[in-house]
Amino acid sequence: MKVTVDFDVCASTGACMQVCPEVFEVRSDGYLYVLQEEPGEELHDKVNEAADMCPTAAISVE
Amino acid sequence: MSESGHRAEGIDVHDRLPSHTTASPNVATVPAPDDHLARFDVSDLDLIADPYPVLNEIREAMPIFWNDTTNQWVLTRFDDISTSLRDRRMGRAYSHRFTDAEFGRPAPDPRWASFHAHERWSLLALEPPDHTRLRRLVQKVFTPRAVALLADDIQAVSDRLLDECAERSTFDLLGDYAQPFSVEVICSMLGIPVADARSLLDWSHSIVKMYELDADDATKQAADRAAGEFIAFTQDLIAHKRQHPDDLLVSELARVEDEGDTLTEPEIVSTTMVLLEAGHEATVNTLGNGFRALMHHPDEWRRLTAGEVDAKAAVEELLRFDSPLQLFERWVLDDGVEIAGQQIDVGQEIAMLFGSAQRDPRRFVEPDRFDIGRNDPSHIGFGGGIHFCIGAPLARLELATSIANIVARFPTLTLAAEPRYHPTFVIRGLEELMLTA
Repeated sequence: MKVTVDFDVCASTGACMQVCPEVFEVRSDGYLYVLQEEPGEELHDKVNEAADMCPTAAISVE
Repeated sequence: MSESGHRAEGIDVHDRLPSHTTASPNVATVPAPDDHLARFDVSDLDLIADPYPVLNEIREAMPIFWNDTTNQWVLTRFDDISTSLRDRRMGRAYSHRFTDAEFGRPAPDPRWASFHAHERWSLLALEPPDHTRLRRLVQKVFTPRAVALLADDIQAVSDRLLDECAERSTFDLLGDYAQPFSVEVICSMLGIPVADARSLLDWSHSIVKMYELDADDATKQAADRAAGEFIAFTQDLIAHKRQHPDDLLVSELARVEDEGDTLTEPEIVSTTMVLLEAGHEATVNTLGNGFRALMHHPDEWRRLTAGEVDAKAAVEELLRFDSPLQLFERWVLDDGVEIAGQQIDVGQEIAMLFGSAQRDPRRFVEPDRFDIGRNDPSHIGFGGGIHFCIGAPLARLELATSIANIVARFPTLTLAAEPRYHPTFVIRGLEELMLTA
């Protein structure tokens, strides 16, 4: 699994971090950081849910 | 006593705040462009008719200025506003961390108790952890994928209303289409009978006037009365849903258990009300302001009718060009906030001029040109950070559906009369938009 974020449309809502803080972190600077671009299989369901919850559809999963 | 009177009196308590040394804003570091400020009069009908020349002038003269009338730092440029929206040192509320006295602000005016009650648990007036808890329960209904499942239903509502418009030679895009359309869509998602839509519209229109900077007592009284009626309606609705549950949002909020706790009735009431209000006011005004722009720019309209630009792309320019929300506020909650070189202390409020940001030439090429082919979704039309519009995917779908349908049915659409804006600065929308099919 490869996680990519379209930072042009990411609005830092933090919805992804609520679902999967292991991979997504909106830091105190207000911007999103992807902590693991290729998360392990145990995180795949949570990453998919995080991508689904994003109101700007900024997260893609391959 | 006026709110501004309360605010001015309160400044001396600032030095009781943690790590806080400056008692009043350091206005001296900002040039005093009195001529520009004099023109930024939110009650001025000329400003409301066309705010952009003044906003352009102010933005180019200064990224930030102190507004003595409202006691706010006013931000004018895109980057500063986009960054501030995401900055967690600022929030939509302070009551989770500070008292009114500590912030030098008046306690909620008891005369407007119903208004304050309606807003008390609104997502727009909450910060974590309450905001996180409530938003999580609501947002799954509004995700792009969940909303896409409603596309056929939304199309059907749009078709039916446009059939009715087609029967008249001239129709009001707002009263005959946009309002009933967006109210019916949000009601169907929440599980509210469409028969109640008229009352909801009336209450909502009264309530949102409270957000104007220059609201007078009569306006506030009307907002408070509307909020009281809206609360009673929502309480009855929740009671009904508890007796007759369905799988729609209000019923789910009434049923849900979040980590063992059920939502309180005030939480459900505020959440339902803010979704209803936000679910149509901005969508209606985006359609009205956007179709006014399209009618004033026949070349851009032809790009739509010729199929050169699709409706989905055009939505983004409608959201940018004539923002239905012109000003949005945040409270500074933590030390160290500096915007455009200006230190802003804990307890102070910033006001972000969205309409100015959306026309910032540092961010947009030829910003005053209405160009429906920009297809740039990274504007701040839906805000940013944790308060980013939860309904953005729904709004985008409603707007794209409406534009595509109207273009397909009425390719020779023209203005029947030059529309007028409501006399309000913050929430920017037309009184009506008469069009000839």
